[in-house]
Amino acid sequence: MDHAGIREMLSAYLDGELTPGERSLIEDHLKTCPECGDALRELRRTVEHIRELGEETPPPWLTRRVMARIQEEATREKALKRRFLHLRRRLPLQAAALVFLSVTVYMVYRTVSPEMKVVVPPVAEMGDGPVTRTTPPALPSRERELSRPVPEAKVPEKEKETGAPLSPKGRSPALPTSHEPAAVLPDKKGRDEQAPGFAPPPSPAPMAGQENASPPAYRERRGVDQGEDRGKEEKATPAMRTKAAAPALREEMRVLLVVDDAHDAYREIGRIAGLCGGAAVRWEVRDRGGVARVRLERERLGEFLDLLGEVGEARRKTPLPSGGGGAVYVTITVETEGRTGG
Amino acid sequence: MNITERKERALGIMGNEGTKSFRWLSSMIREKCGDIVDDDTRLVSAARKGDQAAFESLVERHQARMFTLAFRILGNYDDAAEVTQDAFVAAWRALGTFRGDSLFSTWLTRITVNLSRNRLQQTRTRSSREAFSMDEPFPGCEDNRCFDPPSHGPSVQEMLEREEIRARVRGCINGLEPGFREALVLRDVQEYSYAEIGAILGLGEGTVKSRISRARDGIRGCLKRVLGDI
Repeated sequence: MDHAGIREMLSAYLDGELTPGERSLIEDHLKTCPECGDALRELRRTVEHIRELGEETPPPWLTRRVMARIQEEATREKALKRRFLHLRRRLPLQAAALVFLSVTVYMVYRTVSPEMKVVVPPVAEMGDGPVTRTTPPALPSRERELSRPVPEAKVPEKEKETGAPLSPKGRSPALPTSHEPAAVLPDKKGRDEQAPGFAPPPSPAPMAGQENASPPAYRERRGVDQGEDRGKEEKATPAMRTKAAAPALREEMRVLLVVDDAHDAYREIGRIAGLCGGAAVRWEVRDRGGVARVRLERERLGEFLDLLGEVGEARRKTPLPSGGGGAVYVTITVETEGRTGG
Repeated sequence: MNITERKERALGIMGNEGTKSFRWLSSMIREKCGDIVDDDTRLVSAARKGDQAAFESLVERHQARMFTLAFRILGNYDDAAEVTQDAFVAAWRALGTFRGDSLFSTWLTRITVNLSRNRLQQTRTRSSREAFSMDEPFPGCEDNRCFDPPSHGPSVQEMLEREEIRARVRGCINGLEPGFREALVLRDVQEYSYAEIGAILGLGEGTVKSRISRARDGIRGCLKRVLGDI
């Protein structure tokens, strides 16, 4: 082995980290090589110098500070553990309370839910109940004149309440209907509040939300007036015709159904709605009657009304929705014979 | 290899001849070290149960060693004090994970070395600390003429010379690359075996051997430059 190889091993030789073979090799070499012997001496002296440095004296406060930090940590940890312990005790109670609360809410919901589902239809639509004043649609002066309500004295009381009876067949959309809009149309004073000669600009197509408020009443008035003012209707301005032909976003129709047994009637309504490809979307159950709301396609409306006529005495309260396709919502007010008679 | 054997081997280096006095010293250390290990085990066991007094005893017992180790690696007194504190606190936190496969002192040494290494990296990042190069003249020396550092020790000439030599040796150690410095300090200051150093630093025994050899060679060259003769 050359000198470089030997010198690399001298450090490990000093530390006694060589195998016996390597050790004897080094010792044999050192006997014949004074340079490597000098190198070993220097290395040994170097190690001595390093070891003579000895241990440094740590700062006197070291232990105190270490223990202060540990004490602080231990206190914090203890507080944290105590908090968790509280949580561990409290958790089952809280879980039980949560379960109890959930069950209670569920039971309350189940008990109350039928009442919650009852949605009272707008009074203006039903034609009975308190009078609601709604703003009439902005109409040109000519149309406003057409929509003026017929004096109530001219309308028979019974017809006003129930509307014309529906025959099972041969319904015409042009048939006149009830005159209940008197309740929703503004009174004379309300109309007179507008300045004479003031012609508001034509309103845009009715919005979906407005559909349930004033437009049905307006349509009904027009339906009533159709018979009397047919000639005037024919002379309506093109703008008016355009307005009348404007597609409604949702077609509505109301029917009064007088039956012997309201419960059977609900079942039948649901059944025939299904037969006609529609569905009952809302029920409002009352003591001796109620309201059912059915959604179906416009094309199947006639068929539905025919079948409805077989369930009981069906009276249309609004005209058939004007042509076109799309969905029609039929609100059926179910009344029993006794109630109607009463 | 346990701490007793390590101490014996360390003594063997100093006196290969194996004089009577060294034998006597060796047996005394063996007894003493055995006691230390037993005490450490007992104290660690108590500290793991939350006995802070037991841990305080461990701190008192090992603080000088750990501080010296940190100081030799970092070369800065304040940093060494801080790292030593951190090492003991970290050991307290991790006592639950200490399985006792190695000695408590070895485990603590590993923590101290790691924290010292981290601190050294932070320091190096903070300030572009210039490592003392083996090829450059020792600070305070110009044209192979060295100036006496200000003396803080006793007025005896020998003490001054010793202190001066110590300062030079410390300077030479600080000039080593961190990896070499760690290996050298663990061997020549902490007196660990090559296998133990390998375990602490995560290195193979061959690498440890090579690093220690090169580090000593570097110190030797450095001391020859600054002291003239070793």
